[in-house]
Amino acid sequence: MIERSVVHSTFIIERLYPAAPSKVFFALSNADAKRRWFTDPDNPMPGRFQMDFRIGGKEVNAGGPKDGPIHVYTATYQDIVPDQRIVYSYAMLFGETRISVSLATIELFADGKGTRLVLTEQGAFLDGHDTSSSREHGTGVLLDLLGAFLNEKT
Amino acid sequence: MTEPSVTHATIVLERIYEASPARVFQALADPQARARWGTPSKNVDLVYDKADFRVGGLDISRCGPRGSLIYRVETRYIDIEPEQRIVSTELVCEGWNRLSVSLVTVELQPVGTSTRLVLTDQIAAFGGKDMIAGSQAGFSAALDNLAVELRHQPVDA
Amino acid sequence: MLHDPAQLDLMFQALADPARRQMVDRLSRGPASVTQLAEPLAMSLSAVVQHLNLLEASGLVRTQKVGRVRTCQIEPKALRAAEHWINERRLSWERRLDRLGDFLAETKDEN
Repeated sequence: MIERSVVHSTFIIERLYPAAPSKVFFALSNADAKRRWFTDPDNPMPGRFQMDFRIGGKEVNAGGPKDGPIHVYTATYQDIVPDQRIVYSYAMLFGETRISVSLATIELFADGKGTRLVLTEQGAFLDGHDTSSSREHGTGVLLDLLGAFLNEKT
Repeated sequence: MTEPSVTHATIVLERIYEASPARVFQALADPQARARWGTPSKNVDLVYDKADFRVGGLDISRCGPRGSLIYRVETRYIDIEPEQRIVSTELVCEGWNRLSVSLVTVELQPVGTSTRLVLTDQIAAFGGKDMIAGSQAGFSAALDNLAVELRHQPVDA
Repeated sequence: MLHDPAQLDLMFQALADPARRQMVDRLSRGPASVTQLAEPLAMSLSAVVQHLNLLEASGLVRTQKVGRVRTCQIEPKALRAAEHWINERRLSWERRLDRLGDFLAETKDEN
C-alpha cells in the first residue's frame, strides 16, 4: 500500500484595497470579473474556468504548464454572506492525483472608504506529493526559503 | 456594532482502537453504524436523510436532543482511501443559520493488531469560539462511543 | 532550521551573491563536486571554496569529503515537499491578490 501522510497547515494573508466592500465582493463573485484577476497571466494555458456562485455551487479552474500535467482546482461554496464573507473548500488535482484539500475563508471589512480583505487558508497536504517543476531551478529554493521565513513570522 | 468575524482553529484528536483498520473504516463508512456511535450521548439522536459515502458524495444528517433535531450537517466526501484515510467537509447549520464549516481529516494507521485513529478538524466557525469548543467536545465524545461500538460489533466473518 | 535569526541572516547573505546563486541553482539539479561547481565560474578554485564555505555555514548546502573528492549537495531539509506546497499556495494567493488590486484600480470608475 502507498504510505499515506497528511500535513495540516494554516496561513493568513491580509490586504487593504481602496475600494468599497461591495466592489471587492463583486470582483470575487462575478465570473467575468474574477476571470480577469484570478487566473495567472504567466500560465500559458488558462484552460477551463467555470463558476456557479451560490451556496453548494461549484467552481472549476483547469490549467497548467504546456508540457506538464493538467492542474485542476474544484471548489464548492460552503458559505456566502454578501459583501462580507465567502467560504469555500477546494481540492487540487495534478493529473489524476489529489494533492491537497483546503478550506478558504475570505472576509471583507469596511476600512474608511476602503476594504480590508483577510484570507485564511486551512489546508491538508496529502501524501507528500512533489508539486512543482520549479523545484528544478534555484528560484524554487529561494521561494521555499522566503516562504518558510514568512511562515515563521506569522 | 461589532463586525461579524470568523474564528479559525485546528483540533486534533487521537485514539487507539483494538480493532483492525478494516473494521474501524467500516464503522466510519456505514451510516447505520455512524447513527449509533456518532452522537455525543444517548440523549442525542442522529438521523441520516441522505447518505452517499464515496468521493464526491454528500451526506445530509440531522442531530440534536431527542425530538428536537435542530442541527443539520452536510458532509461532502473529498478523498477516500479505504482503510487509510477520509477527508471531508462538514457544514453545520441551525435552521437558516450556518454555524461552521470544517475540513475533517481522519487517518487510520495499523499499530500491531490495533488501529490508531487521528482526527484533525480544521474549523472555520461563524459567531464565536463556542462552536469550536462544541465541535471538539462532540467529536471527542463520538470517538469514545466508537470504541464501544467496535467492542460490541461482531468480528467480520 | 529557520528559527535562528543569525542563521537566517547567513542564508540571505549567502544568496545575495550571483556566483553563490549560480552554485545553488546548479546544486538544486543534483549533487556536484567542487570542481564541477567551479567550472562555469570565472574565478579561482580557492574563491569557489570560500563561497562554498559560506553556503555551508548558512545551512543551504551540505558537503562531504569522500577520499580526495569533496561532494556538495543541497541540504534536503530546505526542500521539504509540504513546506514547498504551502509556500506555493501562499505565493499563488499573494500574486492573485496583487492582481485583484490592479483589477479594482482599473475598474474604479465602472459601475
